[in-house]
Amino acid sequence: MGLIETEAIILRTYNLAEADKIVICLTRKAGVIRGVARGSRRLKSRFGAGLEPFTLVALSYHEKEGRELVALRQAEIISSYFNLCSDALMVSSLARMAEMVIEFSPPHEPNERVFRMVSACLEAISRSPASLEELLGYFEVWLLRLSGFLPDITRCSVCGSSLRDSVAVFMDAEGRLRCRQCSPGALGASLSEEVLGRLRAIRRLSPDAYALEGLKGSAESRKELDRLTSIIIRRALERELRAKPLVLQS
Amino acid sequence: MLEYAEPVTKLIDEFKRLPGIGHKTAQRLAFHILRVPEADVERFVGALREVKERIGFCSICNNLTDVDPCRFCSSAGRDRSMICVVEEPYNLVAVEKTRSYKGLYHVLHGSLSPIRGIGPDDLHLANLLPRLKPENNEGIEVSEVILATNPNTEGEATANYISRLLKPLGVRVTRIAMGMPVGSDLEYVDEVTMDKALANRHEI
Repeated sequence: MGLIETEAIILRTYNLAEADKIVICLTRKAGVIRGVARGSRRLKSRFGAGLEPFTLVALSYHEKEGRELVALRQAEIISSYFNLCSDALMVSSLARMAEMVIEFSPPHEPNERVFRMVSACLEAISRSPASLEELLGYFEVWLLRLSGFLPDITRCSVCGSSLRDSVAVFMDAEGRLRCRQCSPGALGASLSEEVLGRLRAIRRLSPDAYALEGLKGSAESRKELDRLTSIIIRRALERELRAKPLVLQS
Repeated sequence: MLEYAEPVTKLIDEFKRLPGIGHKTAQRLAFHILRVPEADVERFVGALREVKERIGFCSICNNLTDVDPCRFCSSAGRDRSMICVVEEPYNLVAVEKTRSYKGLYHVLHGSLSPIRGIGPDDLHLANLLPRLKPENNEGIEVSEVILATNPNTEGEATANYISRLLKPLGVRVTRIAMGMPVGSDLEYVDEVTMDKALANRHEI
């Protein structure tokens, strides 16, 4: 195969041998790929800062049939978020985003909507770092939705009635939402009206608009949304995410 | 691997456990060992044994050393009011090569990497804060801590984290400059590096 050129978001890098890196990135044309960037750790490497995590680049690479790793040739920076990464707390949130993209995106399967969503979220975070927690929630809900793990939030999974009309909504052991009538004994995790409102807002709003809207909501409903997405992520991956939030020691 | 005698296979397997060594390189190294005189092999084995037996962490700065405290921490000629924080012992060597820094060091043995699950507790950070007190530094107050972690995402995050820990203590915390490598050409520099070079410019 010849040279492939595509936009890509760098997700993660590992050092390889003396001066090389293995790079995992989300590309527009080929989904998540893994590649080797020869000499990228050298002082005068042609890759420069282009392979730093969360950088949006114009990537060129060679792919050989039957080989898992592609050979990266060039990474021209389109947007860099390096300044965001100088904040340790921000890095831990971005690392969570990167891990989720890697875990929920099958390799070599392009998904234009995932690519656009991740780019838009990074752009929104760089414009409004103070809304990081809201935007992280937005990102998680959308990624779960695009990967098919988010339950239908409009209708009861048992009787099909609109959840807007239900006095209470519960998530059952299989991760599906049920109305009050279909949850005898109110089993499962209950979802507040405010968190359902957040889920609806995430579906219809852009990241920037949701960041403004979400800040108006209560901190409790944001935490409830975090708990909900954490349950779905744990169920989908059958483990916790490795990226843990950093806590400043006193 | 059945084609080689068992000791050769074992040696190849051991070389393969080293970082950056694949099967072919391990095989080449193993056959080199078979070819060299026995005295050379003994010297090599002796060096491996000695490094494991004699090298440990300095109890003050965490540098790798054969004497505790290390030669930097015990030297009377070093400026004890400055501490340079580096990720790895070989980063310390890079700073030392400049011959312009005369202060002390602190080696973290890694950098923060949330995606790899490496947090502050995995770094050798616990003994940095006590070092800033004069009673733990031969009566001399530390006036500046230089954060010389790598100029990448993880190094930046680590520097930011340490600066948040140190700032409330009133000590001056500085970060090494980022920018153009000497001998390079502006034409080939990426925008992030150029941006940092401009931000870190100085008056001449």
